[in-house]
Amino acid sequence: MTHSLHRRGTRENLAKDYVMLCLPAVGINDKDHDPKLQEFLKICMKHNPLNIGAIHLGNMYSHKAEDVIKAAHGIVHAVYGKPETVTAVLNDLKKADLGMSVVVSGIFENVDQALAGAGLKHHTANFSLGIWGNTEKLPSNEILEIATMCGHALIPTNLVKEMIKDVKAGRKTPDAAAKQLAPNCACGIFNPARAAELLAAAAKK
Amino acid sequence: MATQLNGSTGKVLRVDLTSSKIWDDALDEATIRRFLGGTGLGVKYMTDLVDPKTNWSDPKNIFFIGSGPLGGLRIPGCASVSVVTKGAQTNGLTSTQSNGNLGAHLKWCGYDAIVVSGASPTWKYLYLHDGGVELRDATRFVGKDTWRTEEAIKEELGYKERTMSVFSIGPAGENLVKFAGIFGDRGHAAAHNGVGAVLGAKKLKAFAVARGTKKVPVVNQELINELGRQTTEVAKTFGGGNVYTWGTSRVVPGAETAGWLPVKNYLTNVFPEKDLFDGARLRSLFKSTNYPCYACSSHHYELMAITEGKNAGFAGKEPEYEQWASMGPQIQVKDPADVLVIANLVDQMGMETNETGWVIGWVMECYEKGALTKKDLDGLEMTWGNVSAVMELIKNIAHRRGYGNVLAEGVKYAAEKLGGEAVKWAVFTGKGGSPRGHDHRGRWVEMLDTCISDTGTLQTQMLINNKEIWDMPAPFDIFNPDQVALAEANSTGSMTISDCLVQCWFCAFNDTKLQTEAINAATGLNMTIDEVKKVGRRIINIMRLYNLKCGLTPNKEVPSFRYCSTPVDGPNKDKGIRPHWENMVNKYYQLMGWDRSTGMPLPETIKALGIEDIAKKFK
Amino acid sequence: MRIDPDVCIACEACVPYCPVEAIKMDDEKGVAVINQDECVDCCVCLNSKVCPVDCIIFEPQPWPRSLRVTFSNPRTGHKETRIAGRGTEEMKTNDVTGRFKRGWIGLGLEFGRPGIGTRFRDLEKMAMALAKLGVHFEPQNPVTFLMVDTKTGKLKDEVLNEKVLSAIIECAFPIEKLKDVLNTMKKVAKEIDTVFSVDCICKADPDGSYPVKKILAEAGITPYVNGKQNVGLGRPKAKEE
Repeated sequence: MTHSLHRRGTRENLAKDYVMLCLPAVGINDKDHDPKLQEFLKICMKHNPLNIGAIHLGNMYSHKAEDVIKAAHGIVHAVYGKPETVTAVLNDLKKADLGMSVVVSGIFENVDQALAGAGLKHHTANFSLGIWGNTEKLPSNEILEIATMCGHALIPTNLVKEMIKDVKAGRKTPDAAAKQLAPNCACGIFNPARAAELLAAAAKK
Repeated sequence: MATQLNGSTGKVLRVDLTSSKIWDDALDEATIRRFLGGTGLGVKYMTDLVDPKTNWSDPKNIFFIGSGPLGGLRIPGCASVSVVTKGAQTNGLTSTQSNGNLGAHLKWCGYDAIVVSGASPTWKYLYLHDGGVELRDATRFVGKDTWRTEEAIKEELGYKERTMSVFSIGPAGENLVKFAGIFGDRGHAAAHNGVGAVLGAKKLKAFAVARGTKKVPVVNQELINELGRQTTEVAKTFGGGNVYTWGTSRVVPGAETAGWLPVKNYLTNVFPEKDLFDGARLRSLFKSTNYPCYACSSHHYELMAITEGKNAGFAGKEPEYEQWASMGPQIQVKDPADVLVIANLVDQMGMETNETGWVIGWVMECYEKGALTKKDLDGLEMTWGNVSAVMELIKNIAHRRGYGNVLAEGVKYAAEKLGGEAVKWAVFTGKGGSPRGHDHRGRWVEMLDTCISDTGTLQTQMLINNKEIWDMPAPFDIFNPDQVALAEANSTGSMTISDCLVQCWFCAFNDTKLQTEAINAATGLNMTIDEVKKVGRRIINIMRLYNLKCGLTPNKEVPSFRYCSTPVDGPNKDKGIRPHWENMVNKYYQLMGWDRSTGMPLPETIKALGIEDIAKKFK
Repeated sequence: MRIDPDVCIACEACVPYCPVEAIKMDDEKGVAVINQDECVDCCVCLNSKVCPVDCIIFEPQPWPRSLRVTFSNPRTGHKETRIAGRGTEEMKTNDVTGRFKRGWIGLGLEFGRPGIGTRFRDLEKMAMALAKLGVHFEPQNPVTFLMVDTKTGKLKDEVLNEKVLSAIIECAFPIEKLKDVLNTMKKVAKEIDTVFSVDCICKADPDGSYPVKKILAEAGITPYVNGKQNVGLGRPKAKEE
């Protein structure tokens, strides 16, 4: 599942949005892989992630971080706001040599720089060619920028609209509104810090 | 055939407990236009059926419990009920409301309201469902507290949690405690002026109303839906949305700072532990689960359980502000974990929290000063904040055991019976209605209101959305006697309208404009805002006419000595209301168009409200 | 999913939590109701715990409706692939699996994404059009499992009307076919009711460049500035060709 692809945004607001995934290859290196994914998350936690997630349980806004780590299985995720942090995490991962595949999602040039900082080179890319078909059905771009941070579409359009309304009316801070959205994303790839900035911008319109 | 009434089921259920007869009254448009419903309809029934000389405990007293034209519709707050009867504390007319779902369930079963007359020779409960009405034997529920009664009746009838509303009296009502109430839907209460004692005298243990399936016809469903959404918006924005998010759980700290938290029986206004009672803290300290009423999305009403520390394992409901206040600072219980348990016990016994607080606070002061001894109190050491003694005393009052039998008559009676200086220590009103859970020496408008009120509790209040409709003074200096009288007079009717609809305040915040639109969208009556305002005023004046005949005359519209004393500390130190009282009441009477010496509405007031017929009856 | 009408208090708290707007207020019944045909069984409403009276219910459904929860609720796994989520590892483990070789393009067409939902009949239109070009459908993909014949791309009839939050067609083909594939996609895009997000997978050349970028530019398609990259930390490494 390419759940961390198609994150909609501008160069400017995507510059603070990096998702890291870690997973085994089924049938090749997946035997007893849980402890390796737990180790990945523990390494991630050392670098103050904006979110972490284990899909069978949830993320650090729906559950306690230590419970998310315990639930690591299949695929795990972490989110950061700076390429330098990605470099630092990758350096630690290199040292740990878990043998699991790692994918980084973000602006290509920024990610490549982050990789270079850890002495790594990109191997395979997944490009987003955008949204095709009956695009009239789509909500506005400002909603999409927030909702597409959950690749499984678990952040409903109408809920994002409610949060924008609440922020506009002063009932919630952008941060509180982002944190109300965050628990819905089962994988934990939703970036509440970026969401708060986007909600604040949308509320100003 | 009668024409279709919109916003109404067209029927009021009549139950006579003496004869066990059950029948329907038909409602008509003229009645709805004149009285709306809820409190208004109840007052109509009282004036039609109950001679003012009737004692509250007499079988000839009626017990009205009903909904109004918005009941059962998808507008937040309109599942509430109003209770109208002759109350036990004042022996005059009472209007007290409860939230929960009873009002909606009642209308979906096909009735706007229930009127109970007579008295049953044996204990009964009333059961309503889609298919009909039954008076059932309640013997096996007698003695059960209100929560246990609710569970047991649902079990007997086979209803799961939210498919039925059960409102019952506890031991306090059964034992005719003067400040007993009726409690249901997990702790919602209609408890002012001893309405629970009225049911006790009638031997009616409970109302059990299933969630019926009859749809209430309305003129404009789409507009009703839209007004429901607008009401939610009001709820979310009024007062910064504080009540929508926190209910009344965050009131204690601010109340203390402003000097209207009741502390130690009005002996002080300082409560250092106030921040322990902040709802933001308590809702995470204790396990809190939202339990809203039909159509309401607010986080006001919560169930609460203690999972660790003191009293771990206890589960009940989150106390309302007045319960935190009356069972906390008022009686010097300083740990919220204790107040939670005590407040729920009071609900379970079926007693009104405020009067319970005035009674216990007075007892503690008497104990401290030696006016009451351990022997007088059946071995209880009623020191300030003594939790176990408080729990025992509450049960003694509910069961009229020992000195509890005297206290069950209310603090006014108990103080006057004890006599001497002790009378000066008690918080009460001349008419008998209990002040709510505040120190009104910091809220003059409510002291005035409580003393002159003809409802046995509040007659009006200051939470009004669209204040300009009621010409409220702005800015409002709450210690300026003229402005106090003006605010009290001008707002009169606003809350009454909500009590007729019957709509919880915390949804539309008594927004008369929004409510008028909703009334019209439901009923098609095309009333103007002024006509609706008039209904509120009309009902207040009818209550006054009636209550004067009950002996609730102007000379009784006074606060007790302690109630109107001057604060000795806190932010309102030395702000004494006594020197201003007479002038304030005079000004209020003048604004209301009432005769100062007789208390009667003046002829022009009666004429303006179109109640000459009723005035003639109660001359 | 369904809402218990005996318990629902019509507070409308759940309504904004449905990604496909399947929850509506019913004026006749005075409660919230879930439209069974539109509901994709994603369980977002239930898992959000927003209902104050816990009256939202999920009961496992028989085939073919059972597909809805498998595709729409990423917390459930696909029995066939042992992967949670909607699809496969695709390029995420390419350093270990070597699934996508140089000279080949991987394509993922995520129907219904973002947040619109799709019925399988729209996927079938695309799958059959692509099959004509001889693309190789990814065997480990759950949509491929629904195909009657991977040579034609036809899906089982009984699944065509089932609605899900999203479902992915995954295929691979030599890079020379990319232009034709893109043209076919543009054509079918006009015939479908929903939207689809397009993933384009390419292994980097030894010099680090991605050969697909040139072809996309020639076809007038600009990819997003952001995307995914495998960083080559997996072991054992797939054999390099």
